Amino acid sequence: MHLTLPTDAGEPLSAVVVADAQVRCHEFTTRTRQVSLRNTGTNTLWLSFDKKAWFDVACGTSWDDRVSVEELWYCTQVGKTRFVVIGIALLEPPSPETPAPEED
Amino acid sequence: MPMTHYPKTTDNLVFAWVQPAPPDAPMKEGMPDFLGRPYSELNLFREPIPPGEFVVAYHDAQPFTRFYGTCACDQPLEVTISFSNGDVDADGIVVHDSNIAELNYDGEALKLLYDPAKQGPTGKFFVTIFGRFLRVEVKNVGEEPTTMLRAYVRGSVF
Repeated sequence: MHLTLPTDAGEPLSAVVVADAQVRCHEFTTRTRQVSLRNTGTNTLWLSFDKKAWFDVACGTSWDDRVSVEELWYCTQVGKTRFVVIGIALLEPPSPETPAPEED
Repeated sequence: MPMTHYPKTTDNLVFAWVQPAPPDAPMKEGMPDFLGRPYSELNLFREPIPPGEFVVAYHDAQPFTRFYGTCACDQPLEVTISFSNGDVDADGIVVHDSNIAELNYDGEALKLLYDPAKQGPTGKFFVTIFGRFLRVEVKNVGEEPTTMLRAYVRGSVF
């Protein structure tokens, strides 16, 4: 199978987001295969992928995992915090009908 | 979930009162938004503090191990930094923005008596944390309203 990109490559889907006490949703433009984020603000960030199970990311820390999601939910307990989120788009394997480029 | 990485804060300004308030200058095109928001969102100054009056602000203290900062003013100030260890308010409601001001801030960590004539010895502070939530009060103990004020509180994670 011919791949034009390294097997660990992917389109980055990055955004700077501000969280406050209201639960909000960040939607990726496509499904991810990995999400990394860094809480660059001064308050603890709370995250969820299903709006049921929540976990926290302390200010100044980062979090990443190989998760395949289309959205994530976020909020703070008090105040605001800013975070940078980078999703890596899930790469679809090339279709078997796609011809490999000819080699010289 | 994996462990998070050791904290390294880039954004550690907890409070700032800056009078006169700097205007929001346009960002340079093609450069990152280093501040992340207009400066007017960070600056808590709204109007000169009259004699005997104060401004106050609250923040989660948990992310930090120490707080430090400076102040400068044309009037003498009394800057009080105190902490609360309440996780809920008197009604048992977990602390949110709407009730953080109603907690009991029993732990007074510092009362800084700022004297404009003694900027060096009285214009700075450094305190450890004594509780879960932080309260900072800046009181004008002079005879006139403030015409110049620069008070900053920053948090350190180390």
